[in-house]
Amino acid sequence: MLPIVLPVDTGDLTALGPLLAVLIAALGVLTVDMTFEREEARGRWSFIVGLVGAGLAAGCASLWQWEAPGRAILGGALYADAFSSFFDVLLATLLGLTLVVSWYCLDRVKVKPAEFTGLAVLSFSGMFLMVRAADMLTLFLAIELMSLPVYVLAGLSAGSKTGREAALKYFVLGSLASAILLYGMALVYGVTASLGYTDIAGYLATASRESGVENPLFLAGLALMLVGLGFKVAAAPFHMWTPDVYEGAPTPVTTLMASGVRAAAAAALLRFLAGAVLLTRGHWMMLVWALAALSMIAGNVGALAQTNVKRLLAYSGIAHAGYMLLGLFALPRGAGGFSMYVAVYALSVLGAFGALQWFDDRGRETVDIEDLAGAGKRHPWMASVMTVFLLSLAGIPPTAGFAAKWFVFAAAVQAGYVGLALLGVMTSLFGAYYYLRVVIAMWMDEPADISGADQSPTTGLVLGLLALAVLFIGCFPGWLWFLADLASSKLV
Amino acid sequence: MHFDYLSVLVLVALGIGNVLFMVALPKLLRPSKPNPQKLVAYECGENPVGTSWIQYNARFFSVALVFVVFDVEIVFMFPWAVVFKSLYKTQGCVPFWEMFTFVLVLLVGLAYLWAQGLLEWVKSVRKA
Amino acid sequence: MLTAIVFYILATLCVVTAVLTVTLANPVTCALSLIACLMCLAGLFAQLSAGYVAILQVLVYAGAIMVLFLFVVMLLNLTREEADEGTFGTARALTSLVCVAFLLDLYVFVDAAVGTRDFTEALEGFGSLAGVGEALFSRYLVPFEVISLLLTAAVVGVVAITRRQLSVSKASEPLKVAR
Repeated sequence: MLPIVLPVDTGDLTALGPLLAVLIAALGVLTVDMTFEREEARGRWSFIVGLVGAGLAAGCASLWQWEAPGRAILGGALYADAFSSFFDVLLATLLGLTLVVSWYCLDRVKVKPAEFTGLAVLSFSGMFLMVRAADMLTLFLAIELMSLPVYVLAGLSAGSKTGREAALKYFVLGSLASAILLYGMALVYGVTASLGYTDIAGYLATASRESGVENPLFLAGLALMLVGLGFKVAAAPFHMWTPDVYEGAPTPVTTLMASGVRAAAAAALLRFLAGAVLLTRGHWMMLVWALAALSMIAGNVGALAQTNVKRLLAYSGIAHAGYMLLGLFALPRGAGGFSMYVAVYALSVLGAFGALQWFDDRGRETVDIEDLAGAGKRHPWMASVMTVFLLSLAGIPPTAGFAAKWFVFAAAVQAGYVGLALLGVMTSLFGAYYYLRVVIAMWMDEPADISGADQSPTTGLVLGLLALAVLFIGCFPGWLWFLADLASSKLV
Repeated sequence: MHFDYLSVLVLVALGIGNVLFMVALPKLLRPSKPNPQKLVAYECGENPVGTSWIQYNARFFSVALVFVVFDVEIVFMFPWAVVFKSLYKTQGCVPFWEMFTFVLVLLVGLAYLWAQGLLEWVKSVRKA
Repeated sequence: MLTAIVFYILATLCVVTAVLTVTLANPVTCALSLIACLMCLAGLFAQLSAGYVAILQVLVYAGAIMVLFLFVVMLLNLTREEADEGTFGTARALTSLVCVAFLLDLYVFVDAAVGTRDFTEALEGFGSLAGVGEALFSRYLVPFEVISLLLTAAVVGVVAITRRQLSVSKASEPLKVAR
């Protein structure tokens, strides 16, 4: 019989605060959705409950003692450490922003606000679980909890053929990726006889080379797991679905997919690589090297020819997955650059998609670069905000994107991967071209013939503040770097 | 290695054997004189209309999906029921509350389903 | 001896029915052979002293999931001609080739790894109903509770998808009999 220890104490509950806040908010949104009679009331109240949940989660997470050593709680299923808190704050911010910037757009894409909020908060509860998962079983369930609502959301736009295609494509490929991930986990479990990250690391440390770090079955499992997680962060060559799905899904959903989903997946990837299989880094770093190089090339080359902004940002996201992965080469010293890059990318891309939604014409989504032509003349304020986000994605100083790129490239150079860092610098110079193409269209071209819709000042204000934050991080990156580094150093 | 499921194996073998026997025996005994009238599918004496390949209403599918969800719930309650007594001795009521939380969350799901009108067969869409 | 005989019978049946599932033309027969395949798989699980998984395989997969599959088949309602169209083309041949290569690859990996670790017999009670119950309510409490959320998410997803579909098709018709 197994020893049964009840794994709860009060200290753990404070660590679980953010997770619990979002879980309860998710159930609360569902309850709201069945309580109110009128559609508008349901939408409004579910929105409020979601925002309160995000606020509480951010508050709880920032109360965490960042200097405290990390530990596994609840029978070793979850971690309570600074890394989870860092990503809790990030995810709570992303949740709040996603809800706010999407709010006025939902009507245009014919998605019910209550449904969107419910599914989005459920998906985010999966993400909160994912960043603190301490064993492979919890990780897998968290990934599914995150993905399942997004599969549904991708197809929610009523009567849109591309939307249905996107949903189906995302669902089939996502399930395949999950199956591959699960297969990899099974092989890893078969070799190490344990699911927990700490136990796996312990097995690798004690076992002989042939049965541990050099074990072909183990390495096959690890490679399969990397494939599955690579799909979730959309790293090449597992990126094929990204442009079609980002294009076909309603823009609010694309916002969620590009920011929250990828941030959580990246965090889970780092935690697994650093916490469980650090000893085999000689092997997986080769794979990560290939993934990073391919992503940087495929993403930037693919983005060049795009005329659709959503597709363009999808390809740029693939490239960003590549830059992100460069930060992993800083292991085993703690991959602060990686965490920082994830945070900065998620905020910038959320801003870019949010601004794109703001530009939506009445009853129609803004998707093409031509639609944005002359936006600088009609809405100078919002065009400047969009420009800040695009420059941040391009990595041009003084935006946050530049600072984040600086840290990941430095990590790669310090680890001796000078060639890869050079490739990164070259591709990002090359990539600046397509971001600037959008910027030039906004400021230089004559206004396109579309009537200005009545845009929401609240959304505009929030996006403006986010743009200021991006600029602020760009000018003073030190504090974010400090937090990211502190958080990531607790992983190893 | 031990094998605990011999009885199940025997049951399966008996089941398959029984079907084969019931099909094979009449084949040996009966005379075979088919005519078109005899070959018509038997529908309680009525003449069959059309084929059995008809399109089902999508509503059956939603009910089936929900059935799967609650089927999985039952699958998890099963081991809980088996070990509850021994768990109660060591942990008291805690396992009860663990299952309570599990069912509570699913109850929210069920209530949602109900409130959204998926359980009503005829007027299936809640008026928005 | 009996164990080995049962294993080989089940394994052979499993592979044969799996191949039939992807090669047969009629979707209903495909689904039926998939049921047979899942049943054989359940038998294999039972032999590996994973009794709970075996029961689960029969109850959930061969029972509930298959109902869904058959519903999809009926929902799509392919005519005979459309159903027969899926022939063994170049794409399928390539896919099969990749699968076979993957299988061989796996064989090589497993073969190389088997000698490196003592694969001892499972502990008494491992994988039984009681064993799973003990693990589920102590060590794996969090994953267990997450499952309830996952199922709730599935319910919400079902509502979201079918409500849209129903409002697109005529909702007032209680039962549609086509043709």
